[in-house]
Amino acid sequence: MESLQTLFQANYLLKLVVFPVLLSIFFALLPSKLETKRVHFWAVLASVLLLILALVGYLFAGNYQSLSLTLPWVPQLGIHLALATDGISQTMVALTAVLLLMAVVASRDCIHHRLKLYYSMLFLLIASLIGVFLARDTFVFFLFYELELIPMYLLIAIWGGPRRQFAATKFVLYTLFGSVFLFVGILAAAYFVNQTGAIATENTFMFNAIESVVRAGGFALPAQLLVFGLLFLGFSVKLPMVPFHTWLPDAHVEAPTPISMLLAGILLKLGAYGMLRLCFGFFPSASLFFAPYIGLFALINIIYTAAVALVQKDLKKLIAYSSVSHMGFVLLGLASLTTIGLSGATFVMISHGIVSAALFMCVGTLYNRTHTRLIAEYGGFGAVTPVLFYFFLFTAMASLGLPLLISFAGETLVFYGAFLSPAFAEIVLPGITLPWSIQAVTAASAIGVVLGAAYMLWMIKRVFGGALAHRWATLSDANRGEVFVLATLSLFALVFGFAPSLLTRQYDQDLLTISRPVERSLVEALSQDAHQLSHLRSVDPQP
Amino acid sequence: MTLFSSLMPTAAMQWIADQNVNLIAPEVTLLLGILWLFISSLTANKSNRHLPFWVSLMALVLACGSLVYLFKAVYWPHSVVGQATWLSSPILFGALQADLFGLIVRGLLLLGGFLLILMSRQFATQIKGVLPAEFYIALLSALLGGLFLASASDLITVFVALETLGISSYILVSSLRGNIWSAEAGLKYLVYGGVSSACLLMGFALLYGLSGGHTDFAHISVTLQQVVQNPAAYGLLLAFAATLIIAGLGFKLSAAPFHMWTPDVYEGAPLPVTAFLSVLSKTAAFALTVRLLSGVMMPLHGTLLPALIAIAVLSMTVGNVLALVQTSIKRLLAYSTIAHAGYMILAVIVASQASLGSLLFYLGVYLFMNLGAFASAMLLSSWMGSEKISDFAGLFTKRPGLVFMFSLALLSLAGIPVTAGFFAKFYLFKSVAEAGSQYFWLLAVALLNSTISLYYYINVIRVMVIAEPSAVVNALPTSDVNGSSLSLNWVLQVSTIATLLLGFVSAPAYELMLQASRSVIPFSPSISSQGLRSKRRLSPVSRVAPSSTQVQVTKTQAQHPRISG
Repeated sequence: MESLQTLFQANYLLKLVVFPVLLSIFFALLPSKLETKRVHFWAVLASVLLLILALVGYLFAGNYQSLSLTLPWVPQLGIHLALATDGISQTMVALTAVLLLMAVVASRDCIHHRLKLYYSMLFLLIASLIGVFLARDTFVFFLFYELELIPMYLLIAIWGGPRRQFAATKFVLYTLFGSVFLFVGILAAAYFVNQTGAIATENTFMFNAIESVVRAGGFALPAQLLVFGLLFLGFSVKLPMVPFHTWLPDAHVEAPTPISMLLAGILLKLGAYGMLRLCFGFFPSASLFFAPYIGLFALINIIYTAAVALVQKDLKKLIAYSSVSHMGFVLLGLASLTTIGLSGATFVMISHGIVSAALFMCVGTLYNRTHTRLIAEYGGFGAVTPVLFYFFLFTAMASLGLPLLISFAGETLVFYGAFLSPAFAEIVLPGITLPWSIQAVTAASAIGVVLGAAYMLWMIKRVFGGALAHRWATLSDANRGEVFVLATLSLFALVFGFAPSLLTRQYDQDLLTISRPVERSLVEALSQDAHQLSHLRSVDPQP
Repeated sequence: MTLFSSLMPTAAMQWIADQNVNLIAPEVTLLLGILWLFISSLTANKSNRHLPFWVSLMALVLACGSLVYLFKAVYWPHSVVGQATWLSSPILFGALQADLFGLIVRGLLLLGGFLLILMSRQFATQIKGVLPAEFYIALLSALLGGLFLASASDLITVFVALETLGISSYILVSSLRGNIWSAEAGLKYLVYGGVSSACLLMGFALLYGLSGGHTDFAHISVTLQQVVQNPAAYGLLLAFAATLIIAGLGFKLSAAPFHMWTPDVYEGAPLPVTAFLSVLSKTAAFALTVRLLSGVMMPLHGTLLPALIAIAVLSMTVGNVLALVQTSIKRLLAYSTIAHAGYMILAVIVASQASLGSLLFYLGVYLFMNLGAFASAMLLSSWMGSEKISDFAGLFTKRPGLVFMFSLALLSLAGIPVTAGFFAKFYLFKSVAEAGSQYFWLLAVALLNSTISLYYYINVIRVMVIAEPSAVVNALPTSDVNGSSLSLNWVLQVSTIATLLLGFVSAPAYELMLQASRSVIPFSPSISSQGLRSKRRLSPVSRVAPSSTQVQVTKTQAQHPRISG
């Protein structure tokens, strides 16, 4: 163990980012004569290696600081190639590596042409994702965040369904729209940090520089609100939050199965992770101001998209909308402003990553055999594809939050954290004040769980129950590769459902560094309010 | 050198040392190369079409070498002490001056010229109707004009250098003899160029009069300072002079509304020449613009500002919007050139040290990414016989490496992160933002325009990578076995590597550019006193400088506080 640790310690994080890039170049340079089977084999091998490399990071648990790396990049402007990891980042990286392996195994059945370019782009995508999770410099964070666009565009536009070009372009345009706000937010943060003069200018883009300036009170509240708002707006396109979510169903429907898995499993988490780390991590006091609105949007996200999922005719679209609905729980957890709520949000990020990947795998398996995604054309598949039926039912149960499965733990944490939180008592909108406290919002959001159960179970009934159409009589069941993917993901759902603490203890300590300041500022604000109230009462003229 | 000194009379050696002739060694080398080409084309066997290529390549290599030597011998030792950045020595009685800014621009021009000669090999040696010797003579003289322009410090030198560049370019544009489009483009360029030169000359004449009969920059900038104080008497003349000069420069920069010639000439001219016009001619023109507008005419900067802003906004918008609808890769690159000129003019508007440094960096990056794009376009069009973008569809299946490099150049032009183009834009826009909130709206326009530009650059990539192969592409052989496009491939690889490298390690280059830009800004306290003192020490001519210079300088500082920052 010790020797393994020393073997990987030197520049571990740099290796983690550079290795997938090297793999990407490796696949681009493979001879074009190579058989497709061989290329798939190399890809599986490569992703297993990457998974091992990602899991090695857990050897350093409790000693993550020893891994951090800071290289000056553009010293005149204070840009550093700063990489570091902690429980949250490492868990996201591990999730990325696991889902990559699953996606690569799933690719065997879905991707048949231009494999070299496909795997090259896939590993480039993974490199950028890992880079985002490890970056500790806002500028580098943004670069990795943008880098993901190019491979994702090509992955959808070349290997996607019939309307792939439209979907890919829409995805890129929406994300670029968000990126503009993100970039302006990052520059504004650097500008305000520079203004204080407390930090040497060569560090202005570093995460810890911004954090320490905010902690020292160098950031005026309006500036904090501005930057928080810009960053949040940028991330909410990626999450996606309701008015900006329309790219997601299109992208999911057109993307090939493995890419849908990665898109739902990890790419959406970039938005959630960014909100957690940048918005809440940097500006705890500003989060107080935004909490009611985040709560409101969480409610809309959960209820509206669940209702939309209920009426979908396309199976993949249904799953896509359920993804958006689940992201609402992340928002609700963030809006609670409590440690438990934030922990729940993080848990939902991971649980949704596992469950949604499994759901998209099920859909892909069905589509590979039937070449249709319309629920109306399915029916009675339980008889011909019992194995798939079993896994689909299991994942659907996991998704709708059956107790002792993974989503249940996350949603419970979110509801618990939000319900006991004093985050807000009313939502002030221009022209109207909604008397909705966070408890009311949480209670209303719980309807989303019911809706989730409704659309999932109804979907299962329509696909696997009923009479089997004649043309599906010869349908084959899930093959070995598909069973491997589904079984692995189901195992995760089961294990972490039974023992959520296995997962939470990986990131809990590090989440405290984000959630404690948030909680503290909440308590301070409340005590000030109480103080003001008592003050008012004391000056109140005696009747 | 010892051989030289034993042959040369002492007086001549003394003269060379006095006039700092050693500082224009690259130009002299190039001139010797041109003479050799000239003589050999008259006497040698005409059938050897490769000789001019090798002669001019050698001249370029030697010129580059002497420039590197100059940098190491003259500038490097001083930069350690911290003086070299504004070490400004007059050459040939003050006709030229050598400073770090000029040196960097000359370096860019020579580097670009070197790559361009490699790029044009196939064109000059294999296409029927092209005279190789004449082509390379014109190319080298155009380059020579650009080099002199980069270090000019006198209106007469400026005009002569500009005409050397211009007239050689007219010849280059129509060098494809017997091709009607090439001839048309040449004629168009000649007529437009003639008019713009006339404008510029008239502007210079007015400037000459206003400055009380001086042609050298140092005197003009001092006297302009006094003339500006008296708008009642000179206001109209000043405005007239400024308008004419801006119109002349706008043509050279291909900035809107003086851009009309650009698409037609770019389309008609052979591709290597288009690359020359788009990259090298523009680099030289920007050097002149910076020297004139941010140097000599700095007292007029306030008056010029509205016109410059209008030109910048128009160029960006016209270039980007019209590029959206282009179907030919040449015309697309022409409009992209116009748009990039718009971005770069922002630096001249702000005219701070940071912005001019970013402009230099931008020019360096632009050189590589644009040459990369042109080299790819040349390879594709010579291979496929088509310049239509829709014919490139599905090219990726046949030539993935080439498409990758082309895409990288286009992404860099679009300013996608991690490519050099992103950092060039980032530095430039940042310097504009730092100049003050009055430029924020300008920045917003620039950002909006870069977003628009994404569409047409990425569209080319989309067509090449994603679209189904076109009939033209399907008919092509899998591999290209044309030996003479080897040098073109080489240029493409070099520019790809440079584009990536300047993206990953942009900091040292940017630092050098920042230092260089200090030498152009005239009235910064340390610069002016240092500069004047060194001038006085080095040259007998500047002794006639008015004694009131120092007083004037401090006055200007008060009026232009932002320059000194």
